[in-house]
Amino acid sequence: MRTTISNVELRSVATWLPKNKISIMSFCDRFPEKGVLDVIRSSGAEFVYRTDVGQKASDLCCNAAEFLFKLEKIDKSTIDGLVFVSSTRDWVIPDTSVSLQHRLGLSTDTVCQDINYGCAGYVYGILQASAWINCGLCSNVLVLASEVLSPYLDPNAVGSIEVGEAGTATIVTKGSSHFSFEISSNGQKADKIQMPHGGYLYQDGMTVFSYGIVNGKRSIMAVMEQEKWEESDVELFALHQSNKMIIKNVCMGMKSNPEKFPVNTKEFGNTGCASIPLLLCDLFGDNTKKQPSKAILCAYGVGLTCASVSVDLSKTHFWGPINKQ
Amino acid sequence: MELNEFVNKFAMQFDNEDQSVFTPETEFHELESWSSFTSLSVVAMIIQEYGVELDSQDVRNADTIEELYEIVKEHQQ
Repeated sequence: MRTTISNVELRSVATWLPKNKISIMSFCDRFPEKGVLDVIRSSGAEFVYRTDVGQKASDLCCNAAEFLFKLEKIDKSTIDGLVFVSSTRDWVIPDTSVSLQHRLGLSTDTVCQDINYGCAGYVYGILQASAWINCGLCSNVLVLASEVLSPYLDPNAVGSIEVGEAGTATIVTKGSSHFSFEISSNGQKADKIQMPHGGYLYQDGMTVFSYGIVNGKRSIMAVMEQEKWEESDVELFALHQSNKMIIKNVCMGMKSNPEKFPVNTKEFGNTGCASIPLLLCDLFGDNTKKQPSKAILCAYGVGLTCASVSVDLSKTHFWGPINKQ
Repeated sequence: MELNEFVNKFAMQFDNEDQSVFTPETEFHELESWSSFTSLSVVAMIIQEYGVELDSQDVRNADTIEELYEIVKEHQQ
């Protein structure tokens, strides 16, 4: 499905990293070196940040939001919507977003909702926030995105060691720009990334890889068509940072320039639904690069689903990842 | 699309393997250098060169490079 939502903007984005920075090579103590090197070569990940035992996605997001409020001098009473995007919510019920309303000291008038999504979830979060703004329900929506998957990694599967963790906070507000979305779902592949109740995260890496390359390109082209943009018009393609080979191949398929497709898996691994806001904070947080007015965010994975959105980032405030080592 | 061309493109995904190893009859799963990285490289090449999205089952169903070529051709039809 496609749609354009007007009179909205991405106001500001912050990322909070957990304190444990781990070298992927250190996993050679429990997996064969050949397998570890293979993961590094395909994903591009050399380091990951991981939580302490017991630290949850909601904790990381709470920290990211507190920093954002402080750095941006935001009056908390102006926040009227809260979306928590995560595949690792605190409980089955209630929604974690509701407890975050209280933890963050937000008004009880706040509209709160969880979105139980992984990889593509950040785009769903922006869609939910902008839909609330567009229908008049809200003016300033806090979108929190994070997943903490380390407790669910199969100790016998080398393929998931590149999982990293980060908490992100984004503020979507009324504004002068617009977002054009393209979203698709393929439930036939529901078993290709799955975490059953009480089980470990399972991933059919090759199938997800092909799906990402083909659908990433298709989805980006659909957004460009809505915007009437050519490839040369777009300054930045910010893709889900799961695997550098997927990003390279989407870029190749579009005959684009790798400089427009940044990759930061080397330092952070695959942080799931947090990967795009983390990438943007890492790129623009030091205020040395020109921020693009024509950017496309694109994510693919669990579902399997794929989602893209066009955004004007020229006025967005980005804060460099907190705790970056 | 031609089989020999496919075998060459398949072989190009392996930098640490003697290129003469690759023939239509090569049982690629048995190669020491067949790994998650090289298998993803092959799948990506098939998307870029042939416009075909293979899944892991398709690749498992082929023992030889020629069998994989036949699967790609089936998907193209």
